[in-house]
Amino acid sequence: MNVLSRRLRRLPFLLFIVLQGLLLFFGAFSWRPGPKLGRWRGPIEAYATVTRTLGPYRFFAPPVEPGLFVQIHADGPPAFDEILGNDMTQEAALKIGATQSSFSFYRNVPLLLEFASRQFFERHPEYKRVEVTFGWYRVPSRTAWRSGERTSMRKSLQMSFQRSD
Amino acid sequence: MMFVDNHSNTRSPAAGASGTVVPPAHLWARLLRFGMGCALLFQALGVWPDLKYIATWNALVPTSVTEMLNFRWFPRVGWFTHLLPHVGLDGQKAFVFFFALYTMLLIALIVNFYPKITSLLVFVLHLVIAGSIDFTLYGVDRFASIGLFYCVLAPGRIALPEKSDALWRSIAVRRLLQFHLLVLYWNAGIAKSFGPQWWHGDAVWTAVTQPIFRGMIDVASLAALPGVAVLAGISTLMIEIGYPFFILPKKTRSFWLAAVVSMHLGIGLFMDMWSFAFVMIALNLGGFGAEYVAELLHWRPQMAWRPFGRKAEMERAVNTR
Repeated sequence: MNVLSRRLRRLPFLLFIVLQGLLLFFGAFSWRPGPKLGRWRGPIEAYATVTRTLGPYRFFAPPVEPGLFVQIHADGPPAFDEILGNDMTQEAALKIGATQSSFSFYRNVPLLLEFASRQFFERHPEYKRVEVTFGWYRVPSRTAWRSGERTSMRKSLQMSFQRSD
Repeated sequence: MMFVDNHSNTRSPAAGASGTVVPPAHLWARLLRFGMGCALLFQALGVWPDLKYIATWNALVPTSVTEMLNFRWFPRVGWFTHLLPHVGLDGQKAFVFFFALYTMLLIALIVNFYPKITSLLVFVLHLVIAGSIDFTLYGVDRFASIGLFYCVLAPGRIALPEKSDALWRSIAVRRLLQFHLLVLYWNAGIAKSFGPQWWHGDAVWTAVTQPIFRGMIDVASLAALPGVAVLAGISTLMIEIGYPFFILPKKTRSFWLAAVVSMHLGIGLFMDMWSFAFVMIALNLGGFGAEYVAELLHWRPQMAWRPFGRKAEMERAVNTR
């Protein structure tokens, strides 16, 4: 009787563990709650999102590509150069007073660059003019690097801003 | 498999009958909380000086925009904007308040102060903050949430002699964490293996040459020695795909754990992604490293300070196989 009651007491937690295991296993293979789940779909999706149970866990999985970048240049002295990248955080190097973001979400790139320049001027009052460039970074192959080629930026849009005050 | 304490055992403090070190059932939870707390505190301290540029309504990516793009039920600072002004916390102060509370709770998590409730509060606050500054984060917040979720589920303190139900729950949650790590690494490894980039070393090369990754690696030497990038890529694949097969058997566990920890330290060193590295190391140590920490504590009992359990408690926690 004792064994039975203990098993019954453990059952809900065991059920939770099993369901959680199933959710994360199938979630890792891109399973998502579909319409067949009816009214359960929303709560399952909410639970899985909050607990980050559903995968896939394909960080840096193929391919690794250069992303979008915003490059900031201000004339000195001393000259200021900083690059913000897409998606990846440059920890402890948030020098311009703005941080990377998923630039691809922004259709209004000029506005994004204006924001970046405003943040820059706020953070660095000593600079009067800033040049902000939006583009892609092209990484040469190792062979090309050995023959002297270096990482270069394919400029998409470049804007200059002047402090007005 | 862990069993209840054997008080008659007079052998060395943390050694079982077979001589193998078996940690007390809650040590893994303490280790996980300690590791997650340290990793996230490190991240939070890095963010503090730039908080107003990251998490305000006027940030480069305004929080209002981030919050709009999240699921409507995902917790966020915006939910509290109607309440906080009543207590003088409007605008930017709201973010500072949430972040200050989060930072203090991380310290509480490290020192194991009311571990269950602290873990829950940190988990919720992390979601609220992540939901409002999503664009400023990368994968680290996702893994941090996973780790904090297990901190919530993990046992707080198990009275000795360990109660069978508490012990059972502790083992069940730890197994779930281990399973999560197995699925996570295997999935990541398999996905990477489909890309020729990882076999040719191009993935490593592309990653470290990008201007945002300012690690300690000399790119020129990596170009001069192409084999190093190939080796790094293939080692990553081997470690991740082999994770479920080599971390579970006790004979290979210590080696594989060391390999995984080294891989993450390498990510920290060469790609400057320290928060990610620390979070992953904390998850791995929580899932598979408790035995080795117990060994360490046994070798140097003066290290058995409060976050890992009091010395006396450790000495009583003599488990047998």
